[in-house]
Amino acid sequence: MSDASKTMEDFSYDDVTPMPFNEPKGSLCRIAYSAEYTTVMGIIRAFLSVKEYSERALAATAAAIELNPAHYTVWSYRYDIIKNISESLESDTKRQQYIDEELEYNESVAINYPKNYQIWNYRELLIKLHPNPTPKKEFPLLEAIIIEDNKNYHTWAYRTWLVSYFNLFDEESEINFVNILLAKDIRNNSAWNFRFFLKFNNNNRKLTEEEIEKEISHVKNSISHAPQNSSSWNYLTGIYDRTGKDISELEEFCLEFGSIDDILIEDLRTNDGEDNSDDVEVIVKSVYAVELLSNIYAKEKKAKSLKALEILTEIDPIRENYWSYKRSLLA
Amino acid sequence: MEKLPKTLRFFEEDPEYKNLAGKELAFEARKHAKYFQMCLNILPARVQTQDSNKLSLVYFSLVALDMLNEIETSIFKKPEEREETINWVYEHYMGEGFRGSLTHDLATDDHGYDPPHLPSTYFALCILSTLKDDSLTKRIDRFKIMTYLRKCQLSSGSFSSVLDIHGKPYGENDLRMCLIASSIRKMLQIDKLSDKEKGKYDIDIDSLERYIMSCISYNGGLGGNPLDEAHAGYTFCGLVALKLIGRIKQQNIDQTFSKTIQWLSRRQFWVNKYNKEEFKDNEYLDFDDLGGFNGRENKYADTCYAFWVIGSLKILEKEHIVNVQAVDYYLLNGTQHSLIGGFGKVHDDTPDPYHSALGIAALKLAESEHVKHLKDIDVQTVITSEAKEFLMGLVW
Repeated sequence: MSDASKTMEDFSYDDVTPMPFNEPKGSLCRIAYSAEYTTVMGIIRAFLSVKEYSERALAATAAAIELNPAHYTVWSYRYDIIKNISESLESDTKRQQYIDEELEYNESVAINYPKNYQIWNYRELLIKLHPNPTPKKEFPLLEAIIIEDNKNYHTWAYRTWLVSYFNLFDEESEINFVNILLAKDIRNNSAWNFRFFLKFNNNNRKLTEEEIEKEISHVKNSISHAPQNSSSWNYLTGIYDRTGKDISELEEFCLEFGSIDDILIEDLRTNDGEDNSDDVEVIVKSVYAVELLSNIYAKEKKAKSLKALEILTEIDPIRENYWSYKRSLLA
Repeated sequence: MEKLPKTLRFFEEDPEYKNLAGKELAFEARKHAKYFQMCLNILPARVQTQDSNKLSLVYFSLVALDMLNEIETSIFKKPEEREETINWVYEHYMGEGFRGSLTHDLATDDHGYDPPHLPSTYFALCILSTLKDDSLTKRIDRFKIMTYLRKCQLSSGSFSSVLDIHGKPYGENDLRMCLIASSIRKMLQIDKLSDKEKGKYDIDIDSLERYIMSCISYNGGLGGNPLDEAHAGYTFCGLVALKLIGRIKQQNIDQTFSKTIQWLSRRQFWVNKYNKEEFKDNEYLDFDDLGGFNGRENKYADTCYAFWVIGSLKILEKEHIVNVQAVDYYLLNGTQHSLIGGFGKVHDDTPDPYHSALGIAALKLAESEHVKHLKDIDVQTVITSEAKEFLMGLVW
């Protein structure tokens, strides 16, 4: 039975001489450490120097992590304690139970510090140490964090690791997870990125031509619902790049959201800044469509590409310098 | 309403714009200097959550003060105080690198649970060059540091931040560590060694290059690890690391990084009649973000991304594509703290040394008129160009 839930109050440290620390002259950023920090670090430092692997040391690491979750050696020490004690247990069942409890401890820290770097790496190590890991048990934690913070970088990266490590590319759970999040927020770029990973980095197989087409029409449909969503446009061009398809196939699709007519350019110029009211008919529904048109035309229809860049200068003026850089590439 | 030049027309959509029209933007140099001085002084107990990265706290404030031309005048009252601080930095040194804080010092010989830490080694080198410490080459053994660095490199080409007690790489590895390793190598002038010496002390830059390139996502940005979502901070780390190891070929930039440049150009936030429909459904849009940069698609802007994005573009020699007046507007009117100095993460936020230093460095990289009098920042090592020149002039 693990004592992961026990705290320092449950143990005696009478025989431990806390290792003091002091700041010499000339120090910058001198922190006025709390009394608690000084006490806990004093004990942790004593343990770290003698490398004691015990339940009371484990409790001390939890106290230290609570005060300073970014402490880079306390996490590594805690892992060594868990590894040491679990290896001394006589059966796999007991080892499994011990590490499961440590995963629970780690989970509570992860929920309190969702942006900490060390926690997820530590969790990865625990999963690797586990005699019988069940990746599905990880999902509730990941989902709990992602519901709160749907673009949490560490959590998505951990899920990506989990899928690769356990080869879960073809699990229904994964694509369903993405679909639920995208239904909730079609602009969730983390979810789009994960979808791309599942579809185009599947270690088991490559998508068939038919599946690729299905994916293209899926993302086109998403663009139609939110034409100014750069996430879905990136996904679309990402597929074309990855599969070696020719982007000029997308010309017609782009023209649904913008045009490069001479009349349009004239209109934009006469309207320029004179009328920003809501009743002005917005002829360009997506900057990204026109941007893609300029890329499509860049190879063989330079005049058209230049026109697209002229329009972009009018409708997306903050990037004026980028558009003139693109023009310079056409010269 | 005052008529704006075309490239700033998007500000007219800002409901607050009417109050701002004609308002002069100002860079609060004096207040910033005071703010960073305060940050180098005694800090409250809540900062103990950052104890292990203490050298990074020192680094951000010192580099900012150096940019502001304040190192000599406002930190050290007597010359011996500078010496004392330099000696204090060396207290963190342990032969193969530096530890993050003296609370990590276990005074043992084996460095078991008190290992050299790559980020802290980088920050220490930055601090010592900013303080123009000419004893550096005598007090540290660059070959020992490189030996440690080599052990931190993984077979993938990436790096971990420390070694565990068995001497194996421990901890998260990502493009941050790749950048830090590349910076340490550059700062110790390992790239200038003979091929024979490099064979003995250099890291494997071929596998490092492959690793970085494999982090380029389908949208052109770089993620922290291969297949992770593109993120402006990691994009900066990856591009600068490539530059530091000499693997960005100037003549191929437009082609190799065309999508990356496009992705970076899209990070600067704007709104006008052509995209304001987005406000109805996209919860990550905020007028306060006008002119600022986000780190990923459909996320809020944040001061630090101004630095990561402009810095990335600078590496690709495309920093001129950002709209500098809009950067000024976002940083000076938005995230700069006009009362106590420094910059917050977002509009009206309390400042912190990290966002404050990067806010100033972003303005400098963007060549903002408001910071003309500041020292230049070197985008590759992220210390002032003057400090870098000093460091590179040292003879080992």
